[in-house]
Amino acid sequence: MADNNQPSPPDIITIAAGAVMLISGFLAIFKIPSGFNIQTGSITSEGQNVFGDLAFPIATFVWLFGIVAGLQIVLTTFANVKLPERVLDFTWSQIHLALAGFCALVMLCWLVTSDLPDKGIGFWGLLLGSIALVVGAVMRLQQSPSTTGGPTPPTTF
Amino acid sequence: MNNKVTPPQIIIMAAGAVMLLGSFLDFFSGTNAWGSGALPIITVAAWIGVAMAVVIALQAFANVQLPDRVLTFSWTQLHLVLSIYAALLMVGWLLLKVPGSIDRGAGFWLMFLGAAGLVVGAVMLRNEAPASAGPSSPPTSF
Repeated sequence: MADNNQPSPPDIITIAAGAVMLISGFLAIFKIPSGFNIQTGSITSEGQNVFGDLAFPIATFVWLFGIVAGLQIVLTTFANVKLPERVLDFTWSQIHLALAGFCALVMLCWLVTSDLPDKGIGFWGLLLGSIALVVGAVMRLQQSPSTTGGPTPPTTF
Repeated sequence: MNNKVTPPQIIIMAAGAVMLLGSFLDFFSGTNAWGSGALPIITVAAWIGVAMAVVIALQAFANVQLPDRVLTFSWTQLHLVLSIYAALLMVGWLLLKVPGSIDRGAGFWLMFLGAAGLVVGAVMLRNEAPASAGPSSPPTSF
């Protein structure tokens, strides 16, 4: 993670992914057929966002995790908020990967599940954001100085 | 790891077996976790449980030497993360609003119980691990 308020490429990817997921959460994840338009002869559908009956709460978890990941980077990079180095033995790099892994796993499973209602723009936004979260988390893990859990090396001032 | 199986290992293996069994029973009325509309979004929780159980069994009984860490996660951490994945998914299916005509079946409840067992086992595994946090953990006064 950048120390000098300069977000690194993985930080930027994670923030962007979080923003995309935040917006996508308010768009239609699934489109449920709701009626029939006699004039146009087409089936009308009602969009359900992450709080809709079919999406809540699993899609809501995905949405929240994306926001948490992005927010953590924003707070530590731009607001200089000091968070504990570890949470339950996990480094923040590991937490990012765990959150991203859950989001990507759920969204990919939903993608390949058959017999679901039509997917809306919000679904694709969450999927894209989840994949970007994984990319950002893996890049962060690779560039992190101490990935195996040891003490961080002293910094040169 | 030696061949002495510890209680958390037994819990994780049992939970994985319960989740696998539950996946073949009714999840929602008339469909199991392998049915259309359920595979893999529901099945994935059972897969996680089975994967955790298999890793434990391989380490405990087959003396398979797995790498110490996977993507910087120790096995203890990985079990905790995976168990939380499974538990979140099952809590999600518990809170999902289903139409009144659809009931949750025995398969759902077995998988839910299994996911809870996975979390219990993973937390116990973490607590009994000698130094899961690596060299940065504070020295103990013995």
